[in-house]
Amino acid sequence: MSLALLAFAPLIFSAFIASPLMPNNPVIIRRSAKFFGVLIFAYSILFLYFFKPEYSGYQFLQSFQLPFLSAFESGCAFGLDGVSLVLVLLTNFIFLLALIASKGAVNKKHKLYYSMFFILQTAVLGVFSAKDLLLFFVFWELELIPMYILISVFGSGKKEYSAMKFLLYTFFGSLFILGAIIALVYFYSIGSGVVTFDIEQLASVKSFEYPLWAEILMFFGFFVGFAVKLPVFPLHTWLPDAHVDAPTPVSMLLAGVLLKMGAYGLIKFNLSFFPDWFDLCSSLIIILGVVNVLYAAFIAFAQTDLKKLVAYSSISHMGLVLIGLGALTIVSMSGAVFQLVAHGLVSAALFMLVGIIYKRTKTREIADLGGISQKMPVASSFALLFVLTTLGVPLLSGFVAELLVFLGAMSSDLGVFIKVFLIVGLFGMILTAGYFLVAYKKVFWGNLLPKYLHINDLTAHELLVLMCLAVSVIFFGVFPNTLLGIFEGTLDGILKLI
Amino acid sequence: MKDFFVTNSWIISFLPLWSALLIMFFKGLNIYENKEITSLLTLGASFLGFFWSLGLLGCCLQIANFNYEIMVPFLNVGLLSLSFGFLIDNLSVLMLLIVTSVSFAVQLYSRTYMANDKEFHRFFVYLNLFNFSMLSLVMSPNLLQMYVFWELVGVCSYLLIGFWFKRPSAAKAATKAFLINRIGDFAFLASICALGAFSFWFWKFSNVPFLDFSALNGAALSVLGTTTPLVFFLISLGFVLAACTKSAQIPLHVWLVDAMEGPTPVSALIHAATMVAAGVFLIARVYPFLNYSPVAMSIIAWIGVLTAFIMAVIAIFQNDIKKMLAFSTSSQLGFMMVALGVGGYSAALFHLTTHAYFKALLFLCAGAVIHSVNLQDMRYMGELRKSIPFVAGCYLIGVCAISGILLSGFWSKEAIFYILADTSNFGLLALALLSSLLTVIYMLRSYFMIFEGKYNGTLKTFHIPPWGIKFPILLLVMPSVFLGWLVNEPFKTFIKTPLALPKLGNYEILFALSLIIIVIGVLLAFVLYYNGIKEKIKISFIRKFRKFAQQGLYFNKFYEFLIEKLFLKITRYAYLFDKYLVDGVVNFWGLCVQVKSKFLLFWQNGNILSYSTVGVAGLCLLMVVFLLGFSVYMLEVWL
Repeated sequence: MSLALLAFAPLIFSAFIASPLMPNNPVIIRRSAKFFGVLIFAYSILFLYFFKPEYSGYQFLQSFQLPFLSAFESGCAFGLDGVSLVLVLLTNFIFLLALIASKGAVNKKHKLYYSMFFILQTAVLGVFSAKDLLLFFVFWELELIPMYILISVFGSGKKEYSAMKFLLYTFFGSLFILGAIIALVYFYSIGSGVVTFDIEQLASVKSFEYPLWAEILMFFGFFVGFAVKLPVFPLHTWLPDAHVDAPTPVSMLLAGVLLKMGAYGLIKFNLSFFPDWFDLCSSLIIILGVVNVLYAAFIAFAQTDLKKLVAYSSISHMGLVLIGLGALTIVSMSGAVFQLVAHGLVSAALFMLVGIIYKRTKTREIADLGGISQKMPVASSFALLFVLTTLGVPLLSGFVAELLVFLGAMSSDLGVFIKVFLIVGLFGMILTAGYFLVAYKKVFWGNLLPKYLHINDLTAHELLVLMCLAVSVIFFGVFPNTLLGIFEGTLDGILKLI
Repeated sequence: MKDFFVTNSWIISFLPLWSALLIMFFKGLNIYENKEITSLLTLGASFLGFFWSLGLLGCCLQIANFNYEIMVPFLNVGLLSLSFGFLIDNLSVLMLLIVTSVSFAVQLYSRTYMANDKEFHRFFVYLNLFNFSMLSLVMSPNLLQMYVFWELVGVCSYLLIGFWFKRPSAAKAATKAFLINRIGDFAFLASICALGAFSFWFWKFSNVPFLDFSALNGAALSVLGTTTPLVFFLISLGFVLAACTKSAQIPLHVWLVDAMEGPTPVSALIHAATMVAAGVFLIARVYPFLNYSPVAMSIIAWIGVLTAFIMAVIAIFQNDIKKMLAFSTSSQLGFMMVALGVGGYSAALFHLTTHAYFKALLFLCAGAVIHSVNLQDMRYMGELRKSIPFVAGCYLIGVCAISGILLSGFWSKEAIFYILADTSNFGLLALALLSSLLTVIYMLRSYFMIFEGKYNGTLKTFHIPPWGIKFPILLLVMPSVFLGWLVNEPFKTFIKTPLALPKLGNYEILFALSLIIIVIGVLLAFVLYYNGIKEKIKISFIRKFRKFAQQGLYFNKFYEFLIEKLFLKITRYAYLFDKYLVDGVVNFWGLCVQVKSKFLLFWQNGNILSYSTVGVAGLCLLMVVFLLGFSVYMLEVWL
């Protein structure tokens, strides 16, 4: 079981696709890409099989010393804990589905597309499996390049503008992370006499304290960096642009996987490195979460573009993650991690559906659509299922996350004011139902507009993708223990730091 | 044998789920062209469920305070463990019997009613899913499971109201129903979270499964111990709000009338007999908890009685048969609420039982009427007794039952009046009696308008209902007639009011009063409506009021105003704020950098002439500076 192999396998595949060995034939490229995707996903399933959930630390450790970094203890160190394992699996699952969904969404420069796609997968897998801060940062930055190209070359609308905005905004956040990483290593070495980039070591209980001002700066440095990615109000405005102008599979990846990197960073760095500060700021984080939930939901009401509506709902749902993390109980944090998976699945599905509608009707304006359920009954049933999932209807995955987050947050020892605020945040469930169902009604129900008389129902590819997502959404909604069991131990270990 | 029925009672709710899945996955196949398999599966599931419930009833009758619970874990995190399961006690068995029997009749009816619909299979899938959710709801052993299925019945109702989604009005009604119910779901979930959080340690120490109904009493004390009475009141209010949305009580009743856009069997099953009663059922289940908040209880009572009264007033002025029945449902549910609010647990559930049958009967008759004249407006009916006498007779029985003319509704309403008098709530009693009078009037009005007087429509021949329609109606006639007499006394011991023990005084005067009210009501209805509606009363006040009432007291208009003029405007401003201010700052920053770069680019243009110009200009500038400095220095030295 080699984690490095898992992380770098997509990179190898990408080089293979880009190389002259691969004939320049779209069908062959697409099929081999799908084959590689299946391989990677199957390999990551093996990690799940060998994972020991009762053990809270890193597993599958693997490290290489790099000669040019021998001055300090840094290198290629990989490791997985419960949270990262779940996210690695989610990543490979969504990437595989996005590969399948790429048919029809991408019609040019296949070699470039699929090689960038796999580089992106390496970057994301690296972020989730790196056990070394420097390595983490390299992967974190590496993710920007393929994403920039995927949006600016294969996107639609104001694609260059959106890609550049995404790049600059995330890069702006990364600077804060880099500064915080350097400061952290520096102050750790002053305190302990060891220069190390090892995440596990940095997160362990310390015998010394950082200077107060440095701790504040480092905490908020990390926080701003991850808040851009999550995103947290008011650092969210890159998201609607990037999501809307990206091609459908890339939107699936953006919402399904890339946003989770921000939450992962918050858990791994902010919470593990500065548990006391996280505890101190918990009210602030919860308030930010509630603002995220409500603010984005309000804006989603005013959207006329279907894809933008889904994008804003993504922001709204990420607020739930913030609330869960801020409350700092095992229940609410499990809810937050559960929400990462649940939202990853459902947002990928919703973006896919928007893509499906767009491909057939050439419009995403809600006002221009109507009654297409009569022509696409299967698609509309899937759409209803996923809309209900985002609303948090029970026995579907969204509900478990929502319930755990709010139940856990209510039972934390926060003040009454925050608890009242939480109930206000729960109000988001009405708003979400409002904008989603009104849009659903307008798009799928009512009279069929004559210009859509010719459209067809799902193709086999689309059906496969949606079916996979639907099965997992229902499965995790009915048997949440299967997922919770993987990362509960890890979260328990992190909470013990406080 | 007895154990077998009890331990396997989960099968009652799973049978419909299995039939739903079977129909869903096999309807695409060619061998599945036959609609009979679908209806057989569905009917079989309901019938077996009813049979099974009868077995359970046997157990409950043999053993006093029968209580059986089985749990399977749903999720475990940290100290929290939530479980699903089923609870068999007198209350759940009663509900099981009601749901399975009404379902059976309605499904039998739908088999004929929906026979020509292209989406026959989809309809039965939804019906089965609804049955699964509703049966699991009534068997819930804890609040969480109740919430889960509470929302699922809402989803099924959404799907069934929007069954004919091609009609924009149906699509709109379904969305509206779901959204308004969502308010109740929010209140329910918030209350569950708060209740669970504040009594978390109680559940841990008492070793009872989390949020189980059996220990709500202790949980209430524990919540009172850890927080202020205000918080306790707010939690109770959450449950009340949830019940009010599901049971269509004021001010959140507006969805129920629109829900009549669904097929008529759906209105009979979901929006009259079973799902809307879930609110009453919820209050009955959390009764031990609410009992500690007298204010919440009196809120329930007042909401109930106001709904009963106002909805009855509105029903008098309705011309659409289904809408009239919907308002009537709201009003009858109000009767149950008022009984619960004053502690008449048993009376409320008795009325729930009788109401389920006679209201389903009325709706099925209404469906038969609509089927035969092809419209819903009662003003264009009349004289139908001659063409469809069977339906007329059954409808009349339903009317007598609901308005308490000696059939089942009489006994259950009488029980409610008793409890109101017994707890000395004479204000509530007066309003309830008045509502009962109004019930007689509006129900007889509808009967006269449909079946008596002169025919006002244009049809020459009427569609005579076949036996597929008549037989289910006949099934429902029987309980509507006999239920009141037969179970009036045993019911009081079967469903006992928990905790409180009100002493039943002797109120024979109430009996007489009810009879007088019935006589007055019948006479009034005869005078006013026997030969069509008397439009002779030309007092302008009444006319204005008629318009007011026909619009349902403008609740809808008010909410539309709030949403369209206020809420959506706010969201639009929020979007502008986001676009121009939050994003504006970002783009402004980008713009600043761009302007700076443009400025620098102007000089870095690769043109040798401009470079040398700049060079020379710089040199000149330096020389000027140097010369100035030098001269200042020289001046200082010189001076």
